[in-house]
Amino acid sequence: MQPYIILSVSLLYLLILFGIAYYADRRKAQGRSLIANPYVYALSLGVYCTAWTFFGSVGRAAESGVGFLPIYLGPTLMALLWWVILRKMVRIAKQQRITSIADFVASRYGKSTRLSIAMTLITVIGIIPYIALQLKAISGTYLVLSGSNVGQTGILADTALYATFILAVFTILFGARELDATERHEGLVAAVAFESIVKLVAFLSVGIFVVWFTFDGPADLWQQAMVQPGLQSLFSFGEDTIPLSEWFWLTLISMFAILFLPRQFQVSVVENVSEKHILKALWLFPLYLFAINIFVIPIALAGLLLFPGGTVDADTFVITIPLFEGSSALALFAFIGGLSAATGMVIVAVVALSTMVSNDLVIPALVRSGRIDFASRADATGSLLLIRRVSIILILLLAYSFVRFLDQGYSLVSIGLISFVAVAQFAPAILGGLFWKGASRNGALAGLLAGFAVWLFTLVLPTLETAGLLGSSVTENGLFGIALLQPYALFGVGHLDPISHAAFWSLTLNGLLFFGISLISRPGLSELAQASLFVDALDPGRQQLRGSLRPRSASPEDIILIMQRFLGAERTARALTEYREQFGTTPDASTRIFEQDSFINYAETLLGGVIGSASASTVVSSVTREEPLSMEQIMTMLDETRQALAYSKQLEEKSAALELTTAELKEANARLLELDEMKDEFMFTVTHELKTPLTSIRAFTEILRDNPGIPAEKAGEFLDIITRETERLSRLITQILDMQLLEKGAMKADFRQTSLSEIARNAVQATGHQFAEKTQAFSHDLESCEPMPMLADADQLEQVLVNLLSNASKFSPAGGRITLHLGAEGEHYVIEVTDNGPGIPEDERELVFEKFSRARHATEASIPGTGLGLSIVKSVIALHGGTVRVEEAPGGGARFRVELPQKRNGEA
Amino acid sequence: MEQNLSAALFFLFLCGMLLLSAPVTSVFETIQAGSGALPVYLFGVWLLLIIAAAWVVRRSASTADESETD
Repeated sequence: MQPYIILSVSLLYLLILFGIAYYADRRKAQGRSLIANPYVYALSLGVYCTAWTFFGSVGRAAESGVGFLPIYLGPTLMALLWWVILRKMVRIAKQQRITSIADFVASRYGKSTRLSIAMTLITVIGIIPYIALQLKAISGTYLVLSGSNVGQTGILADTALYATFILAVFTILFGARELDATERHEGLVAAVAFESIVKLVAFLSVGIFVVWFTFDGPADLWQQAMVQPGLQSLFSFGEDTIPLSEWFWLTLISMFAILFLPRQFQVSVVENVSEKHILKALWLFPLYLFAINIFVIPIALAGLLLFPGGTVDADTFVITIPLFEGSSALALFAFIGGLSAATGMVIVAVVALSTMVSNDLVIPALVRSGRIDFASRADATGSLLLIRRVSIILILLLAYSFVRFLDQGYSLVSIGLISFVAVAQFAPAILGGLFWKGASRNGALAGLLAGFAVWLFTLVLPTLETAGLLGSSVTENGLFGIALLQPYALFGVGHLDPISHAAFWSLTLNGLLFFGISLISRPGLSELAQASLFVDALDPGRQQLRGSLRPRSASPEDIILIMQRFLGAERTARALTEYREQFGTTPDASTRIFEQDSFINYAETLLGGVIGSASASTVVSSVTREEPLSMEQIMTMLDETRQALAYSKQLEEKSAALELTTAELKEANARLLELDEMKDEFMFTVTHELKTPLTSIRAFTEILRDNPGIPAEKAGEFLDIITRETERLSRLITQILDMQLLEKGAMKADFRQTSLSEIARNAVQATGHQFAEKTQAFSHDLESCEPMPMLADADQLEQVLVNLLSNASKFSPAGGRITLHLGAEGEHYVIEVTDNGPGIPEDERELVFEKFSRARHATEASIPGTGLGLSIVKSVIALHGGTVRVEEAPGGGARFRVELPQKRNGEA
Repeated sequence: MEQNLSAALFFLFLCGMLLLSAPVTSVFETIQAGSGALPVYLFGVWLLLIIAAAWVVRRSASTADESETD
């Protein structure tokens, strides 16, 4: 195909791409973002698929069967964890205006300049081979398509060099036209999303062409391929294709690559519009990977069938098959697809790297060496842009030199994997730093450097050696001739392939140092503050406020001057307006220290987006001074602590009170249950008591009715019993009624002047027969008694005495002794009724006065009673203003002691 | 909703790790390579993982909507 056709179509394609980017930027300026949807986000993540995927996967499949797949399965697996990991990274990057992965790591570990420089160097050196791969793919496929010879050419005739220059121009157009504090490039993202569509469609077109037009469908292709002896063994694991150990390590490093490759960080974190887009992308992006890989194996098999014996480089099958089949238009389309895959990667990666180089390497170096004059009022935004543009050109030239001087015919995939291992070194520092507050700067730095050193030794050194740049043969003999230090068999571990071997040693050493040193070193104050901002990013309530412990002060004019230098006058003015909207104040010289501190932090975060957090921190600290904590602030802090303590004490008290209430409620409940039981018992007793007299009354009346001829004497006897039983019944009912009245407080005593000894005498007469029946000895001292005058309801008091005496009789055994004693003690009359029965256990003494309650042994011995007698006693005595209690009598038995006031209250 | 979603996705991640690496894949070291079972298996598991992830995300989004309207 004529070179001018290829060149003009390629340039046309690039111009369309730029047109899309330009349109997206204009839409953004109008506030109608083109990229604010999850589909564009997922497509832009497709920048992962580079010329490596487009051309290299087929080459890899032709060599090792399914060996190309771990590179896509790893990201699929990692995508499942995006909601946890990537969302957190996006949140942090937005909170802290982080614009590159080097800045991310440096910020996490206390805005360390050393870390930001180390990260940048590792990334740039690590990614150079990857960019080189794209240049090589573009020039290589161009040569195939144009039919030129692939031999060594002079540097001026090298297509890769021209590709490099064209890409440099476009990268500057896309990524370094102007400075932006957020480093977001909507145009770039739109262009990358478009490129993802182009390369997918191109690859699928080739795949369909090969399967259904060159061959008769997949079954035909498979059958033809399986007849070939060499192809059968392609589709299993093993030394000839891909050993399972390599499968594992490739999956692992691809999992890290999808998160930590600078271009992936750029599109997935920095350019992220909304965290919600991650939810859709976490399955859409794997689906994209699935689609772009579905035809890899068929194309590889077709290529092997069409070009047996390795006459054609398998990395170019995507173009050579359509060419061979005479479809040069499809071959051109495939070339454009590959071009889009390569340019997408180069532009995004170089933009990301140039941001890093200027923000995290050049500016910190200039700031440190004092080359940036803070006093100068000159606008520095121009020089910042210049630094960006120069670094873009330098990075691309470095990549070109790799192709020109180091590449010795490596396959695309093996070059790319070298970069993957380099980027995987970020895993401990970033993942550890995201979830573990104890991760320390020294640990991260040591791990990174050790991992990088192993990477250089095990992967880069052999490459340099193959290129003939090193004299001695380290690969064979080991470093300094030590056999244990061979790059492909470090410490004698020789059975792994070079990539797995390098990944194993670098990641192991890196992780060990990261965790080991973090465990023994104590992070500083600024590190701790940043650790909290990162680890608790999804839980803002737990983030400790930055800088609140060490307020800084500065003249606001100085800060604004610095902002103008690095952001430009217009953007500074906008930032100040935003600050006023957010905090409601404008910074001026009279602002209090705390507010000034918040303004300084605001400015520092903003500057961090343009010149990197480490540089921003250095620049800002050149005009600020840390305030020692004033007495007032200390007092405020103490006051806050005191209030917190007081509050917690209040809470404690409340909970104690609650406990008490609970205990009381429990007790009350237990008492209610007890009373309920007593009531049941009472009901049983009362019905029993009522039934006994009723039964005998009924029995005798029936006898009298049925036997009219009964002797009058006998009938009289029966009638006497009936009368007695009726009286007993009515007494019982009266008691219950009395009880109810007492209970309601409705019973009124009929107080008259009366004599207590007279009342006692009546009571003794009424109960005398009970003692006689049980042959109990009853003694009293009524004869020697004074009249004991008092105001009382004589009937009620007599009832009290009758109750007490009959109780004593009931509970004493036959032949027992009962005594009644009346006397006066001080202001009181005392009545004591003593028996020699079994007595009342101490824990029941209060209880016996309760309504329906009966001493336990009374129930057991089935002594008849309603359980109301003593309750009535208590109520009546209370009505008379006296007390009643039960004690143990001297010789065992119970003594009821009633005390009644001689004069009622209010009585003269 | 968020914790359950993260846990469900983590569950899928573990399933993927299990099905796509040794020792499960070592079965294919012995299976006859010409049958094409290995690529079919790998692409099959891959597609299933994607479908499962899409389903999990969609379900969690719909339950979130429901709880919002409640």
